[in-house]
Amino acid sequence: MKLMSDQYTYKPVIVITGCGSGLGYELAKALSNREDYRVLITARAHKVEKLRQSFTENDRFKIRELDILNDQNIYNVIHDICNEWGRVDVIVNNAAVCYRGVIEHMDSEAELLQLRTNYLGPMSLVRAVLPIMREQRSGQIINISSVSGILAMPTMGSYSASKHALEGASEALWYEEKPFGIRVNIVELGFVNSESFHNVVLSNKAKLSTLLKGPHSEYYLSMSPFIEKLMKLSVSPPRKIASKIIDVIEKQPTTLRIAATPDVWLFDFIRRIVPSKILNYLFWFMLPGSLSWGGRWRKSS
Amino acid sequence: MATKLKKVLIVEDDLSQKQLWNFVISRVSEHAEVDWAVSSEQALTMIKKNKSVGQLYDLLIVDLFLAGSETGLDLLRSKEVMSVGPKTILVSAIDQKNFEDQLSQELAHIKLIIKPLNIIKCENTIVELVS
Repeated sequence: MKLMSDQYTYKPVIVITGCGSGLGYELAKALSNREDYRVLITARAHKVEKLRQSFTENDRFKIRELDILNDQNIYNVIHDICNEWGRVDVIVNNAAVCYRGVIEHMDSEAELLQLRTNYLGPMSLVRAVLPIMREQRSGQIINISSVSGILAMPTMGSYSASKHALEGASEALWYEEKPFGIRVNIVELGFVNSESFHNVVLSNKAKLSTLLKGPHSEYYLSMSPFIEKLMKLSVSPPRKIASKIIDVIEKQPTTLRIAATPDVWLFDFIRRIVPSKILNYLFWFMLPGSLSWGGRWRKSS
Repeated sequence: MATKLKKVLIVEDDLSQKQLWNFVISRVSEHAEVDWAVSSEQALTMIKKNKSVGQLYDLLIVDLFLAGSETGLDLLRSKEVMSVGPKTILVSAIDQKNFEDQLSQELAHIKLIIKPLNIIKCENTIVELVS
């Protein structure tokens, strides 16, 4: 292993997960022409072929298959890249899955998949690179989170729980790794102007409830178009967010939380100034159709 | 209202309904054996296990939304249930009209009971189906 080797002209090594689509893909595109970095982009097996067709591998840009749910796969990829490039300077934990469903329509299997993809997997990657970064006395861990990591909205409970877990662990990590010169940043995304809305996974029960207009269907029928509309109105396309992340890599801010879209800043601001006893009622009245949620099963007040 | 009902499988994750269903089944058929599952996955295991010893359920009572990742609809569409074709009652809180619009063709042979349940409605539906 050429760990800490100085036989190369120093170019920071960046490892990015979830590059098969959306933000990860845009980030890969933006970094593919940067001569000042060595970049490893990763994705699950079925997306890797698309990446190979889109990008040309060379001595400073590589593509690998990585299943964030598989610890052995994570360690193998990190081991290989260390053998090849001798170090890991930055990881961008971008791979994620987003289920949409009220808590009652989720199930243990879907909850676990979401938690493993959005929290346990990223933590495994962090654990795989920490000894390397500590030896280097430098490194940067960028965990891609969401406004759902600071607030929870109906139909997003499970996703929100996974992002809250990621945020909590990242905050602890910020303190733990500071003495070793390792920076920890959480980049929080809000509404992104992209088609990623269509990548949201509806649980079986959520689909059936929507089809048959069963209990909770009003949530899907009002929240889904609302979120889609806000995403279309967003001034933040994935390209712009990718550029923001590159900015975070270049400037290495010491701040833990970084709002990547204006709405994150706004929601965070509201959360801070509005007393918690009022906050939930405020959002309740602001959300579309909330007064008819529950349909005929609604408890009459 | 005695019927020849011998073996019933109720697939329902709301265990507060257990007492009601046990009472209804006992009124319809005094000696009927009632099994209970809370998920489609558990129900399939019970159906297979019973089939392996040559026993089949005379009646399935299935809620639409269950514990686990599968729904009552997934259970009714499974090859284990389709191949045997037991008499089936689907129980749900959905609107009858939406059910008829979306699923009545596929599930024409199935009786639907809309929640909230009451003893008379449940009893009449079972008797109508199995007599």
